[in-house]
Amino acid sequence: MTFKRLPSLTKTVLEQLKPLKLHRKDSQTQVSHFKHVSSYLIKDELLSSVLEASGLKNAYDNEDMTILEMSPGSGANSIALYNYFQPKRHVLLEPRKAFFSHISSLTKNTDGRMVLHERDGYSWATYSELYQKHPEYFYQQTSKEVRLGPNRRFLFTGHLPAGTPGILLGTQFVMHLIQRDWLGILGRVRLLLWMSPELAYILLACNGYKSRSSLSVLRELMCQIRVLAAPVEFMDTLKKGYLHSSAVTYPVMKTISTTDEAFAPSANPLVLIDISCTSYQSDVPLDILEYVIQSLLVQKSQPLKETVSRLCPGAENLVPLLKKRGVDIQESSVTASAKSLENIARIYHKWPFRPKVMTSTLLEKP
Amino acid sequence: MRSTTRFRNASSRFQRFARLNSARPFVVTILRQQSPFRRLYASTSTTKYTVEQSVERNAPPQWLSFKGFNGNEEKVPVIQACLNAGDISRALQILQKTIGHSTTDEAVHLVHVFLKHSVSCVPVEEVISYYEQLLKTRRFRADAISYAILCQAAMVQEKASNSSFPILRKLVRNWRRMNHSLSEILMVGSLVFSKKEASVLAELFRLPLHVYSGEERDKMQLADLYDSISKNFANAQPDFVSQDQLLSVKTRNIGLDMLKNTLSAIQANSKDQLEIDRAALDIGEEADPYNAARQRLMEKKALESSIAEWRHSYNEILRRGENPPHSRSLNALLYVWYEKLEALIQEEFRQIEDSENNKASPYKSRTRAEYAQYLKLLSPSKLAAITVLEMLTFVTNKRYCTGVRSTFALMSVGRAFEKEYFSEQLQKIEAEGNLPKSVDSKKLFSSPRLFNSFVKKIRDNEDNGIVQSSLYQPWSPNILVKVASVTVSLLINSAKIRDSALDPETKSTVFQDSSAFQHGYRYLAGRKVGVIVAHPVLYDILASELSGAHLPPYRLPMLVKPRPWLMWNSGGYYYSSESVLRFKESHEQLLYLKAASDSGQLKDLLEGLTALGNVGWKVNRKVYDMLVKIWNTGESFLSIPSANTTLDIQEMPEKSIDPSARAEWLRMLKERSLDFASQHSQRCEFNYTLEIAKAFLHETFYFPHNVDFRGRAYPIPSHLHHVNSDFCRSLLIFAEGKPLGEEGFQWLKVQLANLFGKNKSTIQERIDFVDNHLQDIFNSVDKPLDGEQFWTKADDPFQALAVCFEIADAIRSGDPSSFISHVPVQQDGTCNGLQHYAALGGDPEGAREVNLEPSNRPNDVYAAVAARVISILKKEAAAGDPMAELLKDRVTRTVIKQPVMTNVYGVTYVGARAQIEKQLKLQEDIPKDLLRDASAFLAKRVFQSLRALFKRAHEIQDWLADCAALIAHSVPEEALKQKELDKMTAVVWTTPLNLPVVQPYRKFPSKQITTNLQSVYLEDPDSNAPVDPRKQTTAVPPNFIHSLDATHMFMTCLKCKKRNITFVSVHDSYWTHAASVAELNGLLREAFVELHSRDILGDLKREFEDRYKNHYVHNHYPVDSPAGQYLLQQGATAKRSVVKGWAPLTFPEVPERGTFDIRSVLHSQYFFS
Repeated sequence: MTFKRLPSLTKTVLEQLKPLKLHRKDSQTQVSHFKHVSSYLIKDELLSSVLEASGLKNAYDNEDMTILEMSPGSGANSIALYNYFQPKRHVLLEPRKAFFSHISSLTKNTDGRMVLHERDGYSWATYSELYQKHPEYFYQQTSKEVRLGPNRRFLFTGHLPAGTPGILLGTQFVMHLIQRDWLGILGRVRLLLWMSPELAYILLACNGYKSRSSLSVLRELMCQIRVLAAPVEFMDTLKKGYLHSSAVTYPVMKTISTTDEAFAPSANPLVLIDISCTSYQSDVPLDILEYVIQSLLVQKSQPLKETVSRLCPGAENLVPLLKKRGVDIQESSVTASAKSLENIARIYHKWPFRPKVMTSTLLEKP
Repeated sequence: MRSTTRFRNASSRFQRFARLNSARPFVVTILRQQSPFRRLYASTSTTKYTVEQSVERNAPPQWLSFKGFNGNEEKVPVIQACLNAGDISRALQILQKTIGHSTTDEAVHLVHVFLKHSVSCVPVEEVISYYEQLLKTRRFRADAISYAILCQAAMVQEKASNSSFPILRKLVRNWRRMNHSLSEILMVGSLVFSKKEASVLAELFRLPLHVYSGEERDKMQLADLYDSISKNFANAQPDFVSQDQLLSVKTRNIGLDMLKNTLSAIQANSKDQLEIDRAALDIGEEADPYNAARQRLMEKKALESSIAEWRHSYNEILRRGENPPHSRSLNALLYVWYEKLEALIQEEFRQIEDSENNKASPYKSRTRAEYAQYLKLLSPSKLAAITVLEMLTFVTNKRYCTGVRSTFALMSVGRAFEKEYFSEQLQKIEAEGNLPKSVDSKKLFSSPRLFNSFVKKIRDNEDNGIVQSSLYQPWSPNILVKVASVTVSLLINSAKIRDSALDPETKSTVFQDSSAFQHGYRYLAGRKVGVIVAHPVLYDILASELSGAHLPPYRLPMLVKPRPWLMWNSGGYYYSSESVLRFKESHEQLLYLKAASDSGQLKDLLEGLTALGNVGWKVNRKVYDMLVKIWNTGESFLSIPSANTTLDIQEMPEKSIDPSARAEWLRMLKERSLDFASQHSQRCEFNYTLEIAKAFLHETFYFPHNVDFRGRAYPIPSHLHHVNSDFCRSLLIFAEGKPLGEEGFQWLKVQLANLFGKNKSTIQERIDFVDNHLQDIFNSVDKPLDGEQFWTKADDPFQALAVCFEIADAIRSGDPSSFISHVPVQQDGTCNGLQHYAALGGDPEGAREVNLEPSNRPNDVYAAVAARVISILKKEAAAGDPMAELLKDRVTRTVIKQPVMTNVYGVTYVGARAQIEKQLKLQEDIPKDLLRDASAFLAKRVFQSLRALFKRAHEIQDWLADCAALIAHSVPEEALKQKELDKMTAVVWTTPLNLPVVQPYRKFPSKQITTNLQSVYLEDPDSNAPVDPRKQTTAVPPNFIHSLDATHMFMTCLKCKKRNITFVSVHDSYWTHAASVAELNGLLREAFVELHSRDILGDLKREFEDRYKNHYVHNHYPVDSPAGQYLLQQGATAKRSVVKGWAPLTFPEVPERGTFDIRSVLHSQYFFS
């Protein structure tokens, strides 16, 4: 079957879509996370050029490829991806009635390759139900394929909601990646996500970044990340987030600059991130790793000898042990390398006195 | 030579005296019966007492050897003659003339002669009055011999009348009040008292015999008594031990023996050591001096006692050749921590000195200077002991099972330092003799004039140090945390605990010394907070070891009636500065309270609080034994957690697309971990409660009370008190028992039925319920753990068991009506908040639902609301609403009970939804994803039904909220003139008992304080913070109703006091003896009618109008409203019939009252039942 490219969005369509401001009084939208003004791409040309530069085509077996896209909005993102990858299947999840008819018309010219579901990609139930009804959408990697690299037949993409819901959802997506089994079944999946710069900073942060979080460290340890498109000032702001004293260099990436005009309805441009997990698998159980990193980063600027002793009652005895194993305990958790923090977690995990209950994960009773 | 002459003279005088008496046979008769000198006399007469006495005393007593002065020795026979002739006033006249103003030994001796003769002639009370007259007019000092004579006479006289020795008690009390000891009387009284009398005296006043040397005991003729007590005690010991292990453990704080031994080791010059029975001064008319002494010691020396106990355990362990820091003995461990901490604090003191002498770095000196002067107010030893004790209390509170916020911990420790310092100062004042003499609270409270003059007196004397806490400025929060952070951080660094674990690699057990407390940070609700967490091993030790509850004295019940509340800061414990009001750093509340207290307006409230504190309690021995048995099994039973709680962690679920499965697993994991930690703490808490109960097992004890800012009363001690769990309540009975009588026995049955949740049945049905379960009750009593365990099916099982014991005992006594019952019987209001609203609004429909109106069976407000909700749902379901369809058959009384109950106390829609969701979750057939929407849907219908059912109640709630909103947004005229438009006005009202209720909700700015432990953020209550209008508004309805229910409680309490009925309360649950329930029921109804016969809302409106008369509110007013007219007159311009600006504050009209006649309550059987 010959592949028919989708035409770019016309000015008329854009004019129709632009005034669709999704604010909290939008009676058509009942979904809570859309109460925030979530931006979406309106210039598919921009993404097309980004994709061309990315070389991602080679990472997929196009003929068997499925793209699962959440919240396509205007459809510009869908058009660019569809045209670039020419996938076997492109599944769109869009619950907002404002976009529904427009996207529905897009799918008509795709010979059934592009399918629209009036479902919300923000809800995890959507994926469970979709898997039950359409298992053909999901390609599960074999263990051999997992070892070799990211899933070549499945790509997840879309716009993350704005504000906290977007950060929370993005975090959950990335945590799935860190577990090396996206959606629990698909193995190493690549995500191509439009997100707010705030979430992008968290994901990109390395040692030396002032607002480094446990997600940053886990990502650093187990995921590879690329910024494919970002506003001009994005990298400068990222640089400013690093400690002046830090010897660590921030990641330098070639990105394509985005402009305000490429997005609607909000003028805040989004960042396109390409993220997938690496072949590295830590021998430290994830919950321990997460707990230790989280606890050490509570006091970012304190030296490790201080913060380690606050891991649990009796943890002051870990300090000499760490010293013995070559951990630089004078370093702070914000400047320590991800590997160094992982090493601390490893030592903690094997420490016979480690308590069963990780107190800092518990909340104080009201 | 001189002594020989004196002896000869004395001998001849003695013979003359004897001859004189023997010449008058009628006197002899009297003397044989009454005179304290009967043995003395008998030795010279022919009575059969002679042999024994002559062996004891082969010489005439020296004190009778009248030396004579100025030739007046001849007056002795004259005085004797007058007395023998019954002319006592003549004898007194001659005596006064003879001795003049002399206070020489001779004069004193003459007085002795006068006394010994007069007690044989006239009643002892009369002699006492002569003696007092003599002391007053001749400026005599009272002496032990005179008191011995009088005591002996009183004893003989009162023994004959079989009374409880009131005269003797009064005499001893007076003697002690003059700073003397009973032992002084007994020492000299060996010449006056027989052995038996001395023993009676010692036992009556519970003289601590063990504190005296053998020689002293011999001198007091108490050696035999001491031997017999020691023997009995020794015999009793094995019995105690065999009963349960708990009893074998020595108790702290209570046992005088323990205190005495420990004190002597600590304070060589302690006054209390020597004058233990003298310490019982001014505790009140009924005070038992022995208990009074113990209470004072407990309050004054608890810290030293704790330390001594720790040291004792430490030495024991050393003696056994073990290493105390590595032992699992809590006491030994505490001693190690204490010692280390004390040394570190001493070092800190040295550093402070260096700083003061400019030897330290300027920065460190500056930091130290901020807290140094406060830290040095207490000794290192006390600072160390308090820190250790306070930190332990967090471990035993299940609320802090996963750690306590550092700020809270530091504030608590700081407050404990402050308390101890004030206590020290009080003791100092007392030592200087500046404490006020005892007050007769009965008299004071019965006379408003007397009360006011007393209040004025102590207020005037504040500057002289008579009123304790006015002397001392409370420490600021800044100081509290700074001082505490020094010792807490030192404790965290020094307190170690031995931990063991299995090395996974070597498979051998490894040990390490870990910090017992760890300071860390964690994110709570998105905010980084500092927390202090105890080591799990410490929890293990505390949950298992029965080593005595380590609590500061102000957290324990009292051994004597609490100090009566006479001022806002004068009452409760003896050496602790308690406030009558529990307030949180609100200076505004304090100012209002002080003003009300100073003007004597709080008399009724204080009297009520005093009465609540005066109720004596005892530990219910049967329940205690049962609980100990359960506890010792270590197994989980009802609310008692297991000793071997294990954390059951399930495997992570299989991978799935939906991460919520993992999230659910994580949530469950957290929940279980939290439960695990909570159970650990809970066991520690149970342990503490049992330990306190054990310590007070053979005591009568009291709970001093104070009130929250609405006036609701709470006991001050923690852990063991009646406003606590079922477990705690079951352990408590009234110290005083009352025969059940016919009615009382029935009420006891009603109490049991109520505990089984039968409070919606008629009284007869409740009685029948118990009658039908008599076999179950006997089975519960005979085999509480091995039988059918009927009692465990009750809503409050442990209390039910206590009542089962009482009922069984009453029946088995053969005559239940004369059975002496101690178990409290509770009468609870039906949704008491709504009762007050219905009464305020005169709402007939509401009144019926909450049983203000008489009816044949109790109405159930929850069932009524549920019925309404169901009817709404059915209508909506019929109209096609799927949610109504889902819920219509699922709504039960239980589902809506909590939101209905809390609605009146201001539960929000979100809160109600959560309460309903919790209940709906239990009905497992509702789809999970619908739960939240279903709960929200139902919450709306519940609120709607409540509004319809209690229309007037909601009108009143709205009116109160409207008034509060206006007040909170108002500005006083002066402020308006100065353009100070911050909203500073809090809502204030006065309860019918004159307590000013000040809502403390303000937006206090936070202040960062750097401490040795961490930086803490504290609200600055000293700052002029604007009010929080939203909180001021939403909190008024519940706070107002709480102030009313508190008033009702106090009014009932005062009525009970007048009628001599035992009364305590848990807010709207009133407790008394079974026999007094009927009377209580009458009184509480009278009080309710009395309260609601006033125009409460009208009075409130008038008070608001008066209090806020010069306040202005900025608003948009309709032009035709009075405010609009006012603004137009002021030159404002109207837009669209509305005018904007500052207009004088006016309040909306009080909602119209309905037709309900409040007097119906008097006949409503189920109003409280």
